[in-house]
Amino acid sequence: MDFEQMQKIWNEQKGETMYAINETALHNSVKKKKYAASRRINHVEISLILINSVCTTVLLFRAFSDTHFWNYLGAGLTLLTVVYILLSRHARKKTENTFDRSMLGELDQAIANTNAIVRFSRLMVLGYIIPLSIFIASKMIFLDAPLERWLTVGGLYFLAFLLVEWERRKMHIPRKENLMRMKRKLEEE
Amino acid sequence: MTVSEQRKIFDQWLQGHRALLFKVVRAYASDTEDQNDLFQEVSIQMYRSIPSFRGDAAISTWLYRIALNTAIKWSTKEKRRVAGHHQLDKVDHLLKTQEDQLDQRLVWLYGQIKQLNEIDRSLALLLLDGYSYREMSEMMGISESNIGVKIHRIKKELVNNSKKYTHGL
Repeated sequence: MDFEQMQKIWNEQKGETMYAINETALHNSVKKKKYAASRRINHVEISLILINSVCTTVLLFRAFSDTHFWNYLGAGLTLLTVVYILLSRHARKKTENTFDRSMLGELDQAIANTNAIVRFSRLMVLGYIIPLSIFIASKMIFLDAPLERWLTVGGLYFLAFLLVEWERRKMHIPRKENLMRMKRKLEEE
Repeated sequence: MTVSEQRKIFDQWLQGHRALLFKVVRAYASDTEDQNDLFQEVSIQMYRSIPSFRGDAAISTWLYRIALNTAIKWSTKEKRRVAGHHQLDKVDHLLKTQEDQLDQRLVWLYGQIKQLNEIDRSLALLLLDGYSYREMSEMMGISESNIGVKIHRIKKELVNNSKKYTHGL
Protein backbone atom coordinates (compact mmCIF):
# COMPACT_ATOMS: atom_id res chain seq x y z
CA MET A 1 0.00 0.00 0.00
CA ASP A 2 1.43 3.40 -0.84
CA PHE A 3 1.07 6.42 1.39
CA GLU A 4 -1.66 8.00 -0.76
CA GLN A 5 -3.89 4.96 -0.14
CA MET A 6 -3.31 5.28 3.60
CA GLN A 7 -4.20 8.95 3.36
CA LYS A 8 -7.44 8.01 1.58
CA ILE A 9 -8.38 5.47 4.27
CA TRP A 10 -7.57 8.06 6.92
CA ASN A 11 -9.71 10.72 5.28
CA GLU A 12 -12.66 8.37 5.01
CA GLN A 13 -12.85 7.78 8.76
CA LYS A 14 -15.61 9.46 10.67
CA GLY A 15 -14.08 10.36 14.01
CA GLU A 16 -17.48 11.09 15.51
CA THR A 17 -18.46 7.43 15.34
CA MET A 18 -15.25 6.09 16.85
CA TYR A 19 -16.51 6.64 20.38
CA ALA A 20 -19.64 7.83 22.13
CA ILE A 21 -19.03 10.30 24.96
CA ASN A 22 -20.73 10.13 28.32
CA GLU A 23 -20.95 13.92 28.63
CA THR A 24 -22.19 14.05 32.23
CA ALA A 25 -19.37 11.80 33.44
CA LEU A 26 -16.89 13.90 31.47
CA HIS A 27 -18.06 17.17 33.01
CA ASN A 28 -17.95 15.66 36.49
CA SER A 29 -14.47 14.30 36.01
CA VAL A 30 -13.11 17.55 34.52
CA LYS A 31 -14.50 19.49 37.47
CA LYS A 32 -13.20 16.95 39.98
CA LYS A 33 -9.68 16.77 38.55
CA LYS A 34 -9.38 20.51 38.08
CA TYR A 35 -10.31 21.23 41.67
CA ALA A 36 -8.26 18.32 43.03
CA ALA A 37 -5.07 19.54 41.35
CA SER A 38 -5.33 23.10 42.62
CA ARG A 39 -6.54 21.86 46.02
CA ARG A 40 -3.44 19.68 46.42
CA ILE A 41 -0.92 22.42 45.71
CA ASN A 42 -2.97 24.92 47.75
CA HIS A 43 -3.01 22.53 50.71
CA VAL A 44 0.75 22.12 50.64
CA GLU A 45 1.38 25.86 50.38
CA ILE A 46 -1.20 26.93 52.92
CA SER A 47 -0.17 24.24 55.41
CA LEU A 48 3.49 25.28 55.16
CA ILE A 49 2.54 28.96 55.50
CA LEU A 50 0.33 28.24 58.55
CA ILE A 51 2.82 25.95 60.30
CA ASN A 52 5.67 28.37 59.80
CA SER A 53 3.56 31.40 60.78
CA VAL A 54 2.53 29.67 64.01
CA CYS A 55 6.18 28.77 64.66
CA THR A 56 7.24 32.39 64.01
CA THR A 57 4.54 33.72 66.39
CA VAL A 58 5.40 31.22 69.13
CA LEU A 59 9.13 31.95 68.86
CA LEU A 60 8.51 35.71 68.87
CA PHE A 61 6.28 35.43 71.95
CA ARG A 62 8.97 33.38 73.66
CA ALA A 63 11.49 36.03 72.69
CA PHE A 64 9.47 38.60 74.69
CA SER A 65 9.95 36.62 77.90
CA ASP A 66 13.29 35.04 77.04
CA THR A 67 15.24 37.47 74.89
CA HIS A 68 17.66 34.83 73.80
CA PHE A 69 19.38 34.78 70.41
CA TRP A 70 17.96 31.30 69.60
CA ASN A 71 14.38 32.51 69.67
CA TYR A 72 15.11 35.39 67.29
CA LEU A 73 17.10 33.15 64.96
CA GLY A 74 14.33 30.54 64.90
CA ALA A 75 11.65 33.18 64.29
CA GLY A 76 13.75 34.66 61.47
CA LEU A 77 14.20 31.28 59.80
CA THR A 78 10.54 30.36 59.89
CA LEU A 79 9.49 33.85 58.78
CA LEU A 80 11.87 33.62 55.81
CA THR A 81 10.23 30.34 54.82
CA VAL A 82 6.79 31.96 54.94
CA VAL A 83 7.96 34.83 52.72
CA TYR A 84 9.57 32.40 50.26
CA ILE A 85 6.44 30.24 49.98
CA LEU A 86 4.24 33.33 49.57
CA LEU A 87 6.46 34.62 46.76
CA SER A 88 6.64 31.29 44.94
CA ARG A 89 2.86 30.88 45.34
CA HIS A 90 2.35 34.31 43.81
CA ALA A 91 4.63 33.41 40.89
CA ARG A 92 2.82 30.09 40.38
CA LYS A 93 -0.60 31.78 40.36
CA LYS A 94 0.63 34.25 37.76
CA THR A 95 1.77 31.53 35.36
CA GLU A 96 -1.25 29.28 35.88
CA ASN A 97 -3.21 28.56 32.68
CA THR A 98 -0.45 29.74 30.36
CA PHE A 99 0.32 27.53 27.41
CA ASP A 100 3.38 27.85 25.27
CA ARG A 101 2.99 28.10 21.51
CA SER A 102 4.92 24.99 20.53
CA MET A 103 5.47 21.48 21.77
CA LEU A 104 9.15 22.19 22.34
CA GLY A 105 8.20 25.32 24.26
CA GLU A 106 5.74 23.31 26.30
CA LEU A 107 8.42 20.73 27.05
CA ASP A 108 10.82 23.50 28.05
CA GLN A 109 8.16 24.88 30.38
CA ALA A 110 7.59 21.43 31.88
CA ILE A 111 11.36 21.00 32.35
CA ALA A 112 11.56 24.45 33.97
CA ASN A 113 8.69 23.52 36.33
CA THR A 114 10.36 20.24 37.25
CA ASN A 115 13.63 22.10 37.83
CA ALA A 116 11.78 24.47 40.13
CA ILE A 117 10.41 21.53 42.11
CA VAL A 118 13.89 19.95 42.34
CA ARG A 119 15.27 23.32 43.49
CA PHE A 120 12.47 23.70 46.02
CA SER A 121 13.14 20.20 47.31
CA ARG A 122 16.90 20.96 47.67
CA LEU A 123 16.05 24.20 49.40
CA MET A 124 13.85 22.27 51.85
CA VAL A 125 16.96 20.29 52.86
CA LEU A 126 19.67 22.96 52.66
CA GLY A 127 17.68 26.02 53.63
CA TYR A 128 15.09 24.57 55.96
CA ILE A 129 15.65 21.11 57.47
CA ILE A 130 19.42 21.46 58.02
CA PRO A 131 19.39 25.03 59.47
CA LEU A 132 16.37 24.20 61.60
CA SER A 133 17.98 21.01 62.91
CA ILE A 134 21.22 22.91 63.65
CA PHE A 135 19.14 25.51 65.44
CA ILE A 136 17.24 22.91 67.49
CA ALA A 137 20.45 20.96 68.24
CA SER A 138 22.23 24.11 69.40
CA LYS A 139 19.29 24.99 71.58
CA MET A 140 19.21 21.48 73.05
CA ILE A 141 22.93 21.67 73.85
CA PHE A 142 22.33 25.03 75.47
CA LEU A 143 19.44 23.62 77.52
CA ASP A 144 21.31 20.39 78.27
CA ALA A 145 18.47 18.22 76.88
CA PRO A 146 18.15 14.57 77.99
CA LEU A 147 19.26 11.74 75.68
CA GLU A 148 15.71 10.57 74.81
CA ARG A 149 14.83 14.01 73.52
CA TRP A 150 17.98 14.00 71.38
CA LEU A 151 16.98 10.63 69.96
CA THR A 152 13.37 11.63 69.27
CA VAL A 153 14.14 15.00 67.70
CA GLY A 154 17.17 13.66 65.82
CA GLY A 155 15.16 10.70 64.52
CA LEU A 156 12.34 12.93 63.30
CA TYR A 157 14.69 15.30 61.52
CA PHE A 158 16.55 12.40 59.93
CA LEU A 159 13.23 10.90 58.77
CA ALA A 160 12.14 14.24 57.26
CA PHE A 161 15.51 14.50 55.51
CA LEU A 162 15.21 10.97 54.09
CA LEU A 163 11.66 11.56 52.86
CA VAL A 164 12.49 14.81 51.06
CA GLU A 165 15.61 13.22 49.51
CA TRP A 166 13.65 10.12 48.47
CA GLU A 167 10.93 12.24 46.84
CA ARG A 168 13.49 14.22 44.87
CA ARG A 169 15.53 11.22 43.71
CA LYS A 170 12.65 8.85 42.97
CA MET A 171 10.01 11.24 41.65
CA HIS A 172 11.22 14.64 40.53
CA ILE A 173 14.60 13.80 39.00
CA PRO A 174 13.30 10.80 36.94
CA ARG A 175 10.45 12.99 35.71
CA LYS A 176 12.91 15.65 34.61
CA GLU A 177 15.08 13.03 32.88
CA ASN A 178 12.02 11.72 31.08
CA LEU A 179 11.16 15.20 29.80
CA MET A 180 14.77 15.81 28.73
CA ARG A 181 14.77 12.49 26.85
CA MET A 182 11.56 13.51 25.10
CA LYS A 183 13.08 16.87 24.20
CA ARG A 184 16.15 15.15 22.72
CA LYS A 185 13.85 12.89 20.71
CA LEU A 186 11.98 15.93 19.43
CA GLU A 187 15.19 17.66 18.38
CA GLU A 188 17.11 14.65 17.02
CA GLU A 189 18.15 14.31 13.32
CA MET B 1 -13.76 34.85 31.86
CA THR B 2 -16.56 33.37 33.97
CA VAL B 3 -16.88 29.67 34.70
CA SER B 4 -20.10 29.43 32.66
CA GLU B 5 -18.43 31.09 29.65
CA GLN B 6 -15.52 28.68 29.94
CA ARG B 7 -17.92 25.73 30.19
CA LYS B 8 -19.83 26.96 27.11
CA ILE B 9 -16.65 27.20 25.03
CA PHE B 10 -15.57 23.78 26.30
CA ASP B 11 -18.87 22.28 25.12
CA GLN B 12 -18.54 23.97 21.72
CA TRP B 13 -14.97 22.77 21.24
CA LEU B 14 -15.87 19.27 22.34
CA GLN B 15 -18.84 19.20 19.98
CA GLY B 16 -16.99 20.62 17.00
CA HIS B 17 -13.61 18.92 17.37
CA ARG B 18 -14.33 15.59 19.02
CA ALA B 19 -13.01 13.72 15.97
CA LEU B 20 -9.58 15.28 16.46
CA LEU B 21 -9.50 14.28 20.13
CA PHE B 22 -10.58 10.74 19.32
CA LYS B 23 -7.77 10.36 16.78
CA VAL B 24 -5.17 11.37 19.33
CA VAL B 25 -6.69 9.14 22.03
CA ARG B 26 -6.78 6.16 19.68
CA ALA B 27 -3.19 6.71 18.51
CA TYR B 28 -1.76 6.92 22.03
CA ALA B 29 -3.87 4.63 24.21
CA SER B 30 -4.52 0.94 23.65
CA ASP B 31 -7.26 -0.44 25.89
CA THR B 32 -10.58 1.11 26.89
CA GLU B 33 -9.31 1.93 30.36
CA ASP B 34 -6.34 3.87 29.00
CA GLN B 35 -8.42 5.55 26.31
CA ASN B 36 -10.78 6.81 29.00
CA ASP B 37 -7.90 7.99 31.12
CA LEU B 38 -6.21 9.84 28.27
CA PHE B 39 -9.48 11.34 27.03
CA GLN B 40 -10.08 12.67 30.53
CA GLU B 41 -6.57 14.19 30.68
CA VAL B 42 -6.94 15.79 27.25
CA SER B 43 -10.36 17.19 28.16
CA ILE B 44 -9.02 18.70 31.36
CA GLN B 45 -6.10 20.34 29.57
CA MET B 46 -8.48 21.58 26.87
CA TYR B 47 -10.72 23.12 29.53
CA ARG B 48 -7.73 24.73 31.30
CA SER B 49 -6.36 26.14 28.06
CA ILE B 50 -9.54 28.09 27.22
CA PRO B 51 -8.53 31.34 29.01
CA SER B 52 -5.15 31.30 27.20
CA PHE B 53 -6.65 30.94 23.72
CA ARG B 54 -6.20 34.27 21.92
CA GLY B 55 -7.44 33.19 18.50
CA ASP B 56 -4.03 33.59 16.80
CA ALA B 57 -4.22 30.01 15.54
CA ALA B 58 -7.19 27.98 14.30
CA ILE B 59 -9.06 26.19 17.10
CA SER B 60 -8.20 22.83 15.56
CA THR B 61 -4.48 23.68 15.54
CA TRP B 62 -4.68 24.83 19.16
CA LEU B 63 -6.53 21.69 20.20
CA TYR B 64 -4.16 19.42 18.29
CA ARG B 65 -1.25 21.03 20.10
CA ILE B 66 -2.88 20.55 23.49
CA ALA B 67 -4.06 17.02 22.78
CA LEU B 68 -0.67 15.90 21.44
CA ASN B 69 1.29 17.53 24.28
CA THR B 70 -0.99 15.89 26.81
CA ALA B 71 -0.83 12.52 25.05
CA ILE B 72 2.98 12.54 24.89
CA LYS B 73 3.28 13.39 28.58
CA TRP B 74 0.55 10.89 29.48
CA SER B 75 2.29 8.23 27.44
CA THR B 76 5.58 8.44 29.37
CA LYS B 77 3.73 8.63 32.69
CA GLU B 78 1.68 5.61 31.63
CA LYS B 79 4.81 3.57 30.87
CA ARG B 80 5.85 4.01 34.49
CA ARG B 81 2.38 3.22 35.78
CA VAL B 82 1.98 0.04 33.72
CA ALA B 83 4.85 -1.48 35.70
CA GLY B 84 2.71 -0.90 38.79
CA HIS B 85 -1.00 -1.50 38.69
CA HIS B 86 -4.18 -0.17 37.17
CA GLN B 87 -6.65 1.81 39.22
CA LEU B 88 -9.49 -0.43 40.19
CA ASP B 89 -11.82 2.28 41.43
CA LYS B 90 -12.42 3.97 38.07
CA VAL B 91 -15.50 6.14 37.89
CA ASP B 92 -18.02 6.00 35.03
CA HIS B 93 -16.45 5.43 31.63
CA LEU B 94 -16.32 8.60 29.57
CA LEU B 95 -15.99 6.86 26.22
CA LYS B 96 -17.84 3.97 24.72
CA THR B 97 -15.89 2.35 21.89
CA GLN B 98 -17.82 1.73 18.69
CA GLU B 99 -15.24 -0.63 17.18
CA ASP B 100 -17.73 -2.36 14.86
CA GLN B 101 -18.13 0.85 12.86
CA LEU B 102 -14.44 1.07 11.99
CA ASP B 103 -12.80 0.11 8.72
CA GLN B 104 -10.30 -2.72 9.43
CA ARG B 105 -7.65 -1.00 7.30
CA LEU B 106 -8.03 2.03 9.55
CA VAL B 107 -7.63 -0.20 12.63
CA TRP B 108 -4.39 -1.50 11.06
CA LEU B 109 -3.21 2.06 10.36
CA TYR B 110 -3.85 3.12 13.97
CA GLY B 111 -1.94 0.01 15.08
CA GLN B 112 1.03 1.08 12.97
CA ILE B 113 0.93 4.65 14.27
CA LYS B 114 0.84 3.30 17.83
CA GLN B 115 4.12 1.48 17.22
CA LEU B 116 5.97 4.71 16.44
CA ASN B 117 7.67 6.67 19.21
CA GLU B 118 5.69 9.42 20.99
CA ILE B 119 6.98 12.28 18.83
CA ASP B 120 6.65 10.43 15.51
CA ARG B 121 3.09 9.44 16.43
CA SER B 122 2.21 13.14 16.68
CA LEU B 123 3.82 13.85 13.33
CA ALA B 124 2.02 10.92 11.68
CA LEU B 125 -1.35 12.22 12.91
CA LEU B 126 -0.61 15.75 11.73
CA LEU B 127 0.65 14.49 8.39
CA LEU B 128 -2.43 12.35 7.78
CA ASP B 129 -4.65 15.25 8.77
CA GLY B 130 -3.04 17.38 6.08
CA TYR B 131 -0.96 19.81 8.14
CA SER B 132 1.94 21.43 6.27
CA TYR B 133 5.56 21.13 7.39
CA ARG B 134 5.43 24.79 8.40
CA GLU B 135 2.36 24.23 10.61
CA MET B 136 3.94 21.12 12.13
CA SER B 137 7.15 23.04 12.74
CA GLU B 138 5.23 25.80 14.57
CA MET B 139 3.28 23.28 16.59
CA MET B 140 6.28 21.19 17.57
CA GLY B 141 8.86 23.97 17.87
CA ILE B 142 11.41 22.24 15.62
CA SER B 143 12.77 23.18 12.19
CA GLU B 144 10.94 22.34 8.95
CA SER B 145 13.97 20.43 7.65
CA ASN B 146 13.98 18.29 10.79
CA ILE B 147 10.24 17.66 10.29
CA GLY B 148 10.97 16.69 6.67
CA VAL B 149 13.54 14.08 7.70
CA LYS B 150 11.23 12.60 10.32
CA ILE B 151 8.24 12.51 7.95
CA HIS B 152 10.30 10.81 5.26
CA ARG B 153 11.29 8.12 7.76
CA ILE B 154 7.70 7.67 9.01
CA LYS B 155 6.28 7.33 5.49
CA LYS B 156 8.95 4.80 4.58
CA GLU B 157 8.23 2.76 7.70
CA LEU B 158 4.46 2.77 7.13
CA VAL B 159 4.77 1.79 3.48
CA ASN B 160 7.27 -0.98 4.30
CA ASN B 161 5.01 -2.39 7.00
CA SER B 162 2.00 -2.28 4.69
CA LYS B 163 3.70 -4.80 2.43
CA LYS B 164 3.11 -7.44 5.12
CA TYR B 165 -0.56 -6.46 5.41
CA THR B 166 -3.02 -7.75 2.83
CA HIS B 167 -6.48 -7.50 4.48
CA GLY B 168 -8.88 -5.46 2.38
CA LEU B 169 -6.27 -4.26 -0.10
